[in-house]
Amino acid sequence: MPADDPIRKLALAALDADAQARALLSPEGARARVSFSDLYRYANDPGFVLAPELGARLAVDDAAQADLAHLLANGAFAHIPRQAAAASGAVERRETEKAVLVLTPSRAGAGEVYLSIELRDASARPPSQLFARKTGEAWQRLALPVFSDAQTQVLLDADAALARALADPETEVYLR
Amino acid sequence: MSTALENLTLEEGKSEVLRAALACVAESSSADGGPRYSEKVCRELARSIVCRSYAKPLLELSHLLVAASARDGRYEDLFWGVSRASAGEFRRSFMALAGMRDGIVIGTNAVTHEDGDGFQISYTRMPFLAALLEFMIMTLGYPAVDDMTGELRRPGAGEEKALAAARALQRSLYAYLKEHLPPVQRQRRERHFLGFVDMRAGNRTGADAINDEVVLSYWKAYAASDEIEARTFRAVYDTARRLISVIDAAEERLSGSYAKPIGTDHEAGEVDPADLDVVVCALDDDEGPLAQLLDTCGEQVKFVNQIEAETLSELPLGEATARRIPVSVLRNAVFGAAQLRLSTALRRGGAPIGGLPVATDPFYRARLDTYATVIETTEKMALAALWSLHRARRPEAVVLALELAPDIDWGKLMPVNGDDDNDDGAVVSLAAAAALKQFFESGPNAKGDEVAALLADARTAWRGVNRNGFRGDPDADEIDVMAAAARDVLRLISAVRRTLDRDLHGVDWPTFEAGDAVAFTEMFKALYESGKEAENHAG
Repeated sequence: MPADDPIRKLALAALDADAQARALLSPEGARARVSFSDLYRYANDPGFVLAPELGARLAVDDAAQADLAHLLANGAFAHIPRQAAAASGAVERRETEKAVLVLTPSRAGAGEVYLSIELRDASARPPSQLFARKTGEAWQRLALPVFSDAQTQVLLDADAALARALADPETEVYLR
Repeated sequence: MSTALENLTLEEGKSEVLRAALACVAESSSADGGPRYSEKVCRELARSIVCRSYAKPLLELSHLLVAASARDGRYEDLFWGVSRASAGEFRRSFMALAGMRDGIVIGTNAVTHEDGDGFQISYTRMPFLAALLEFMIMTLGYPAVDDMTGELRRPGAGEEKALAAARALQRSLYAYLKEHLPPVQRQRRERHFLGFVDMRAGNRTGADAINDEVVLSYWKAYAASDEIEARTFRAVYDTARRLISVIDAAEERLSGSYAKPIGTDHEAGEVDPADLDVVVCALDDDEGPLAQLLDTCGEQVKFVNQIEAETLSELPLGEATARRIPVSVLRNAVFGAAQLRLSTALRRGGAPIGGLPVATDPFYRARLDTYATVIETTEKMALAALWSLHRARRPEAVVLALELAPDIDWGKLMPVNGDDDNDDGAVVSLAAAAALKQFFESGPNAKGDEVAALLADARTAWRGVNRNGFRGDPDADEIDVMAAAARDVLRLISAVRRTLDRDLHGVDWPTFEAGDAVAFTEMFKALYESGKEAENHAG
């Protein structure tokens, strides 16, 4: 079979391509990113918990953070953007056309705050998760308790990252 | 030199980004912790990337996104709403969308986007397209992919929108791969072997020039050589097998039996991506239906257990290899395995050469008997599956019955009132439906008619096995997997029977047993005359 035979060329090119495909799929390519499958479940399934190493990767992976932000925006129940630039001090109340979020210090336990969420449309299918992100930081996630009469409430540690983020005007919030 | 090293590092860096994206897809897990995409799908994805044959799949994907957006435009919910990307799960998800959007027809085997000429995508294709979509998102970013496919979410998105989205995705992927896909490395081992074949080809051309004599001669000539890595017979056999697959596939592809795309110049040495994809695919196809069956069944339904799978994997179940190099198949199974054991033993402690087949042993014939025994067990499992699928009234029971008992007079199942004696399609359908109903109403009876007796055999087979998916009352998932695997198991049985009866039958095995026992023992002694040497050249 001559060296320039098209059959030979195609056959050898196929073997080269196959070797490259196998090399690209070899385990040496240590996983360094969070898959979109995991992001989708993280965004949609309150019961799904990202493995700690994946959570750590997500926190430092700008591309994954952007994908997650877009995923949260698509089909969100409500989006509460960052407060106006003029806003200062801790935020206690956030409002949109869909919902009102209120942070209230607990009287019973020092260092705790209540997050109350009230939906404006009582007939709407209530969200099951809250996502919050302070500018330049990673997303925080909270599985919401069941709504009753379009309201729900959850007790947070005031020092927890989520509570601090919710009190910060530089934080945007999604309800899903 | 330093420039060459720098280039190498640069190439590795480029491929590392692409490798990470593919690894993400390959390692995506389903809700039960198993892989979301099968190994076969991941290989297909990597192949289409490396061969740059993604144009048609991206068009398919674009049409599929239109169909998947039928409910509320959120195609993500359909693609990632399924836990494991399998044909069955996609079928169930699409069935729930039936009638939701004009122009989208949800069928039993496929989804059709009815616009222009119409575009149909089968459920079996969807796992690959889902992996392709995830890969696109991992490489280009979700916002970018969403931007390019946004029009497809809207009601009324037609053929032109699908084409425009496919082109945009194609352009972006092309640009990405230009940055991240390094040039292919020439495979030296295959080229060296092919050079040896050329010298001995005589009048033979193509894969015909690769035969048992060439394979053995090459191994004898180069096993101890530093010129090329050919120490194990298995490696040489694998090289020969791969070359047979790709040369046959390339010959068939270039035989002019299909229309070449305009713009590809073979004379100038160009390789058309579609040709390349088809020929690379032949390498997977050479593994035959065993991999597909194992892929479909996972751990849920054990038509074939691990030991049986390992045994059958010794047989090349594609069309060509066993036909062209039948003796090498068994040489690899017997002496390839022996060499592996030998080199492992020597590496661990310098055990002497021993335990090898001797000239008076019928070792090749014993191996053939083993394959026959395993496939008889697989046939029994298929018969047991017939019982389970018949009880579940799954149409795949008919597929199994027709194949496992082809001599039965299936006309007995047909209605006797004369409805079926004309050519009207509708009437034939009614007759088929009636036959199906009668089949499922038949019960097992060893002394009854042929169908009843077959069902009695199937019940006996069911009671005689105790494996995953074949005990007690299988749940709906197990029945689904069993049904999905019915054709795969029949293909496996057929391929093994063909290989045993057509390719490996009629060889003068006693003569090869006598000659090979001596030849391989001498070669092993020459290669592994000291444990120290074996340590240096781990097989």
